Amino acid sequence: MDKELRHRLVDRRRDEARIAGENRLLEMVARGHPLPRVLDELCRLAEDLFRNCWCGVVLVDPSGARLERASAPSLPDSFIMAVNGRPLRADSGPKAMAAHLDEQVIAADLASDARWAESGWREMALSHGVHAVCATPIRSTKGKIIGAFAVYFRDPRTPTAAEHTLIEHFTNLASIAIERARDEESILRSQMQLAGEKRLLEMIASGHSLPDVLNALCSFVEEAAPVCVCGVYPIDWSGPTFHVGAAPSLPASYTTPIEGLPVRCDVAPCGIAALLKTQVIVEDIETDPQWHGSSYRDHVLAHGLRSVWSTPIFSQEGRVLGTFAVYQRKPGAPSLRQQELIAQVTHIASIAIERVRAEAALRRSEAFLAEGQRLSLIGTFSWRVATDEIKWSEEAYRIFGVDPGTPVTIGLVFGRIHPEDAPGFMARTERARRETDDLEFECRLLMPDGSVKDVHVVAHPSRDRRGQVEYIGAIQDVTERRRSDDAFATLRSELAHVARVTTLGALTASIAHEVNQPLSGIITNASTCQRMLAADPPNLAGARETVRRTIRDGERASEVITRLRALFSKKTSTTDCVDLNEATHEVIALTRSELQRNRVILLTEFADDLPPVNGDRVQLQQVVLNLLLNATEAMTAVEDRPRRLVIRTARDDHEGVRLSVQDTGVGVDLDHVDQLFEAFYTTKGNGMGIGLSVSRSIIESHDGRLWATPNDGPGATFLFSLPSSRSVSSARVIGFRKRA
Amino acid sequence: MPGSLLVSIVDDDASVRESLPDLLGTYGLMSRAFSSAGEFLSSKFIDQTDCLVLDVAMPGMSGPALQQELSRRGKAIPIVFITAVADESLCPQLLAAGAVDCLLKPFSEAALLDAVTHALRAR
Repeated sequence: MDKELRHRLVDRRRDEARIAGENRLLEMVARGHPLPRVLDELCRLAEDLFRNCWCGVVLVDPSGARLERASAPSLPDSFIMAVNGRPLRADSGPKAMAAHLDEQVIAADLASDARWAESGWREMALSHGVHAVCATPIRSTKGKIIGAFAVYFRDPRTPTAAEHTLIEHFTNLASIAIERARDEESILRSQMQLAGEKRLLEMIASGHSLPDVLNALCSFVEEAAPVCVCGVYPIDWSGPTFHVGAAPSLPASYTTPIEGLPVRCDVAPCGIAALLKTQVIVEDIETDPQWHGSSYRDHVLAHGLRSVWSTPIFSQEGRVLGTFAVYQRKPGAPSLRQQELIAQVTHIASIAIERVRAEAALRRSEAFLAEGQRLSLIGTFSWRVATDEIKWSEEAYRIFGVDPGTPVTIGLVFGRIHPEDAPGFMARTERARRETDDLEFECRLLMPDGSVKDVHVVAHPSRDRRGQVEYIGAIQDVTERRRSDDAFATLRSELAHVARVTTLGALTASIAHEVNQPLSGIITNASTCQRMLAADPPNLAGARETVRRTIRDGERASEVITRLRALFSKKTSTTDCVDLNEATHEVIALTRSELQRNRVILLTEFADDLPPVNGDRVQLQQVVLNLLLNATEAMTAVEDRPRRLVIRTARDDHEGVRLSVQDTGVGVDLDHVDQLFEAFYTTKGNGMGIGLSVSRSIIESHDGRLWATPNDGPGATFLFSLPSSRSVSSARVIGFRKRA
Repeated sequence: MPGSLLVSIVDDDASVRESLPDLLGTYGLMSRAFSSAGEFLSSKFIDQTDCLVLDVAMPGMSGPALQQELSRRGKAIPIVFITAVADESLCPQLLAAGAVDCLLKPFSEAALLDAVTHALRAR
């Protein structure tokens, strides 16, 4: 065989071997063989086809910063170790340079090539018998650099043209294998992470204890990133101090000093992370100047750890709940994937810690609620109308005098209702079944020991998804309050009387005037009559006229007395339909001379369409009288302007009515306007202050409001508003309680 | 008793304005009633009035204020004050200011006649 033929034969065999090898590799990829095995196989195949060389593949890590997962099956581990972890820089080594520059890098004679001398790679390669190298970047289908393929020659030389073609083939094959594996890995990883996340979230949801959840969380990270050791350190901000939530792979000698460690920037990277709310990466505690000479550095090193990455765990509102620490036994920064993992687990840790704290808070607030119910004597209950299923809170049991936990039946409830209130109670509950409206009533309970309790019940109906009606409500023991209410009503009535008597004193002159006027007319007319009858001849027509006037004036005097008696007698309140305009007119009639005496100009602006109000006519008149007299008194010192008093009535919003008394007096001080209404507070010498507090109490007992405002000009306006009888009737409490 | 004497009555109370002229009429006294001080001041009877029966408390110008105004105008009309407000300090003040008498409502026929005749004599 001639030489050329032999060459062509060799080339052809080589092509055949290459094609067979490529097919074998592609089959491995298709079958999902692990990437290191595929890449090793690829290197061996390449080594078969090249002369006198070794081959290697290296991957660029997901962050694009470093080389990782080097394969070089025919080179010793020491060579592989020296490649892994090299930064992606031109001076790190030929593969790093090729990947970094995205171009083929050829070193024909390493001995005379200084490019990687400084990084130590050249000496390392020469020591393994490598004298020339050709490194080619491996691109993904999207053009991203994902690794590098290198041919290491034993002799100084460059690749031949045929070898260049082979290199192109092999980088393509490597690209396919790496991409495929990366895809699968990423799917697998996310599946694993999702599964892990799901397992952790299930633990949280099913109420596992916080240490259990956090331990599982650390184990999850340590499994996913085997070189890492983790710790979770929740913070008690009342200290603030760190606690060891979980650190399953760290010895107690490491974690014990962390328990109760103050949260400060100078104690540990976790302190900085917590206080500055930022991730802290210490790549190598041994050389990091910040921790140089610190006891923390000694502590970490003593446990064989070098790198510390601390990440704050944030609550949903952005508060720091604690820190998540990852340690490695060798220096380094977290890879992109590790960062993803850290972000994922700190999020889960946040959920776990918040959940536990929320539960603790809930338990506390439940305790508060129970305590609150006990103090306020309010129990809560639910009542399913269809099934008569009743649930009571602890305090409800106490109110009914039943042992907590006893099953509540409708019969049990009926058995406690006072016999006199039972028919009303039955009627009310039957109506609640039919009409499904808000419940509010009072009734009495007859306790087994014969004592009687007054209870106030309020409930609101709601429907569940199946349309079943359930009342949720509250029951309050108002026995004591009822007693003090009665006492208060008596007191108010007494006070009102005192106020009335006080007013009576102030009104003596006015009353005398009102009575004396008609009396004067009566006497004059009677005298005239007498004289007319005694005349000769008697003036009968004149006498008849004077008698008519006498009767009229007598009636007028009698009216005054009737009004006075009503206004100043001590009697319990009655409720009628009151025309506020009319009632106010009567008060004005009584005070007319008082106003005149004080040179007060009274103007009235009464609304024609004023709806009536429900209430005690005399009490309301008492309030108007107080306001009128107060306004008059506020103007006694006024000399430089008219003493004008305007009484207005008007419709209020929401169907109510409003009455205002506006004066041009000394005015009110905004700062003291509320004090005006306090009993015994007075700005005046002769003490009518009690009138305002009683007035307010009267108006409030009519569900109204009494207040004062300064005028734009001089003086003040006192106003009260009352619900009209129409609006009141619809809002009235439904009560059927029979008062004993 | 002279028949042409005129008693003017100033009172915001209609009952007084109705009843007093009739009573004075039975004594043969002429009388005119005015519901306010202003009405009296602006009337033509101001110069013919021999006696003024004047209410103390009235809207607008009060009785004492009218007394002062008349004095300012140099009109020396004898005044009998009547008042429904029992104020012990008021009457001496009014008398000191020149009033002939001060009657508290309700007053008797005799007291009124006494005061009015006293005023007419003082003229």
